[in-house]
Amino acid sequence: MELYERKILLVDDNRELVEMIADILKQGGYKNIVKAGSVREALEVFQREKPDMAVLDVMLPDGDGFRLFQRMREQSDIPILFLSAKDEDRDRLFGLGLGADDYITKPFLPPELVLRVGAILKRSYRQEEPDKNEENCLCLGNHEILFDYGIVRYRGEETPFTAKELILLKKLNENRGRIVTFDALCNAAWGDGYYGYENTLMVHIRHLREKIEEDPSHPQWLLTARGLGYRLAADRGGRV
Amino acid sequence: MRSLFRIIRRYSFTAGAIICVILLSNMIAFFSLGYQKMQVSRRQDFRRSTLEAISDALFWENGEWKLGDKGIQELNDSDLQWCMGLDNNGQVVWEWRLPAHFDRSYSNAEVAKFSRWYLNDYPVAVWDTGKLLLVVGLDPDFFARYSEIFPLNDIAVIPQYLKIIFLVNAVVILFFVFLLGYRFYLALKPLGTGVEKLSRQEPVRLKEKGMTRDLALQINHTSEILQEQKQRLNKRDQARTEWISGVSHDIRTPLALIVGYTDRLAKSSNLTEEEKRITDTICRQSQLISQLVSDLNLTSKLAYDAQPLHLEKCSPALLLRECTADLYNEELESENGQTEVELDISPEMEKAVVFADGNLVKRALRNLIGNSVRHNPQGCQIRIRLYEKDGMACFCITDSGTGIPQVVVENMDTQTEKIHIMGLRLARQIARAHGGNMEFLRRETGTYDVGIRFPAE
Repeated sequence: MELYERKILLVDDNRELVEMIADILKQGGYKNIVKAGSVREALEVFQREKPDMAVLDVMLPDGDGFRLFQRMREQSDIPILFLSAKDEDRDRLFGLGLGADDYITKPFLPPELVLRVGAILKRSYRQEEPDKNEENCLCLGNHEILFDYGIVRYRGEETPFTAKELILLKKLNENRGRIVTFDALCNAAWGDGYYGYENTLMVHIRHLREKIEEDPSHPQWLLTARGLGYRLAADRGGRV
Repeated sequence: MRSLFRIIRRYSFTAGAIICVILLSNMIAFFSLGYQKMQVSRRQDFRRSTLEAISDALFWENGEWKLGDKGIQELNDSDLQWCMGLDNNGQVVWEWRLPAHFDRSYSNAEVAKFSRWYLNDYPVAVWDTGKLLLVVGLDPDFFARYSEIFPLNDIAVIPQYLKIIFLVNAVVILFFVFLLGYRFYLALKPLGTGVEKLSRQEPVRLKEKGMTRDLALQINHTSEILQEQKQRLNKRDQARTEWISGVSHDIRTPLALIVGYTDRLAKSSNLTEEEKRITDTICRQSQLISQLVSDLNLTSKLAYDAQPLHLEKCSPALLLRECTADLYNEELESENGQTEVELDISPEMEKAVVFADGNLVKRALRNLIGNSVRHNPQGCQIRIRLYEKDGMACFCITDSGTGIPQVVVENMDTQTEKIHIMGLRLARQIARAHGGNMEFLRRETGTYDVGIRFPAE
């Protein structure tokens, strides 16, 4: 099944907000959306429609979203995202602690919601997808990176990545278009207590550039954010 | 508790000092009185002056003893009742006012007896003039006659006895001073603990008995009042925090609708330049409202201790990089302005650790850096220096833009509606909650840069 055909259940007591989220997701390409305004209604729709994913508000007129979450999880393992007006760390941690896949606070930016829903669906249903390659392939210009094989293909020539290079590239790709700090990269590659690895990190980045950039001294994809970290450009060029 | 011990110690010293002063003054009084008495009795010394004068004035004339005028004068002035002179045979050869019923002749045994005791109930004194034995009768209403013999040994040990008596007395006095002091200390100890607890706002329940009963009663009462007040305050603070939290919660859903739909509007392709500018402004301002609402919520929670700090070891350098990266990822990316953030982290700070709530520290930094971004829409260079000073991790934020105006710095502690500086106040509140602080650094242009510090480990 296409990701965009997955059925998404929206639960919020504010009808207008439900409509807007549905609009946003539809604009984002998700066509199959069902809605509910209360815990009771949500459970009914849940039984009837068997959605593939749920977006829940925490405060509902006849109960709270956390309870609803638990009731749903008793019956199914579908990914669930909380969309709540409660911004306290305590609520966020509680929701995530229950096993929710994500927790977004209102107000949110529409593109962010679409991206997060997409990421959760990908993570949850990737294994079932037959076209696995599509998910684990990254094209940077003429360089084609195959994460599953740990290689980069360029003009018919295949170059393998080292384990650390692959970890770093994956980390950057997960946050594509965003700056990933030295700390996050070092932590991904070497775990805690990574102090002093920054120079090593630079060496790995240089090697990575040699493999994925047309001109490693003038990188187009793997960009340096001075003093902060690195960024995998979402499109060609870009400023940081 | 230490202060209580000091009180007891002072009490003991005072008691000791009082005893010493009284003993000393008694001694002084005793000796001065004794000296005075001696002076007085010397003046009235009939034995020496009177008897000597009489014996000098007695003379033998015409076969009988006579007293000269001077002697008679002396006798009249004295308190003597009577007077007589005995010759070697015990015969009265001269007399003055000697009562008629007295014998005029005394045997040796009688003389020996009255010289030590009384003669017809008169205490007497005798004086040997050389030729006569002068006997004088004293007023029995004023004088007593007593004669005793002491063994020399007993007199010799008197100084020894005095020493022992003094020592024993001192020991007994000290014993009682300390015993009473200790009892006093024991009685006061719970009171001291109670007052200490009061100052820490802990509930106090003392036993209301013994000599400190009234004090204990008062302390218990005060504690009850304090607890009640504390509870009332807590309740009010809690109500206020909950109210703010509720309002901020309620604002979020409508805000989500505004943000969501404006974002869609902004993305639609058939907008004029003017319409695009308007939707962009709505977008930005709604984000600002959202930021203000969460600042308000957090500020009230921090103010009333409703938000516990999740303290853990964090690296200030890491927090600063994460915060700056987030800023780039979320805000600067979409801005057209040429705003750049430059980090200057001192090498020792890379290894440094602060014990803090990382999210709150990032929130504070984000507010401060966000101010620089927001107040310089044309873009600016922001420089953040992270260095160690006096055991604190200091973040100093400077920018090439306008800087923080004087009026903001002046109104940090006053409630004014003229300026909106909740973001700055929140940053300072976060710093203070961690035992750090925030300070403004004056530029030459008269505006300010801001620095914020957190205690490092």
